[in-house]
Amino acid sequence: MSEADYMTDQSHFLITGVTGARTDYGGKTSLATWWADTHGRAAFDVVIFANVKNDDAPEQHADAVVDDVEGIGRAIGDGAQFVTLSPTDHDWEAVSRRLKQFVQALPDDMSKFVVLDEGPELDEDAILWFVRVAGNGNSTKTLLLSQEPGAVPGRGQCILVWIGPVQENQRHVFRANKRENHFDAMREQHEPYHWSVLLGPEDTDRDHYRPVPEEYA
Amino acid sequence: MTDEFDPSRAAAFATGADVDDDVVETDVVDDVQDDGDDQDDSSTEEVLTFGALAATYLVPLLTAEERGPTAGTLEQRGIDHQYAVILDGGIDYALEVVDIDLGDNLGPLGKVAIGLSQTRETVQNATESEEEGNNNVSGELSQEASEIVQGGGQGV
Repeated sequence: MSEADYMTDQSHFLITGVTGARTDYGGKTSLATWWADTHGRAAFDVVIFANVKNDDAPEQHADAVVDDVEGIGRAIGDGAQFVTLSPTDHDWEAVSRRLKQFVQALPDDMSKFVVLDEGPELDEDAILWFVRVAGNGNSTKTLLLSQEPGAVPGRGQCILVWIGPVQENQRHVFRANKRENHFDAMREQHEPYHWSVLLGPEDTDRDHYRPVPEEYA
Repeated sequence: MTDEFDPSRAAAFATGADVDDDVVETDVVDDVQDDGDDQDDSSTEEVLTFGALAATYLVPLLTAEERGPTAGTLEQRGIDHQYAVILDGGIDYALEVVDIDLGDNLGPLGKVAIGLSQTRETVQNATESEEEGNNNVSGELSQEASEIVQGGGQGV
């Protein structure tokens, strides 16, 4: 699988790594925003970023920022391609359920790039629909963000992406996901905001990337 | 918010489908829900449209005046009387619909058509004569020849 393929095809990704503000850790939201704003826009009809934390980066790079799911539809109808949902409703599980229903109602031939930030806070069934059911059938690619891979369902349907430094106390995460082969190499290579796509268990099944442009921080 | 969310409505916004923002309960496909005034307007429009079409295409069938070559002119050009009358009527109708008056004149196109039809008739007649002659040579005697034969050649 080439870089171009998995950046824009309908495979799903779980972006994980330690969360941190104003530290050397973190970067999941920035990475997802960059991915949505570049490859998402280039290859998909619509880009939807579920920004339940109301982060700045997804709002700054979107064509429209809305506060409810119906607003996504209106924004797309008005010509927006990249729409960020920064909900005022703090029931994030309900928000994700409505988002699932909305994406289900869109035409199958409309390609969708969906980012689900703060995965553990969202409805599990909605997540499972996005990573198990949605895909080639209704032209949807999903990026699911979570500090811990084990904290979200559907892990087996996603390609693991790790961002940021790797600590010894995180080895168990790599082992549980059958990616321990990469742990030592990543401990040496991963400076802040570096990220790797762990395509498989073998040593060669890893693509290592430098940080995304600072404008997405 | 949860109770009011309609995913189909939201998707319709995204795709540009017809969504009435002011109507809470909407069934845009069901025309039966249109009120009587709307139906009257629709019926009136249909009547007006039919009337305009009738005036343009049906009425001239009865009222079109002489606008092109007359039947007599066509007959003079070799067209049988029956066909000339029919053709005269057809030409008058067509010219009435397009609102053109050519007068009792075939025009270049008409002359060419007449000429071609006469040429074809001449060729056809010649072909028929030739075939009749061939038939006689092949064994069927003309009346004169039959009389000579029956008379035993005494006419010579």
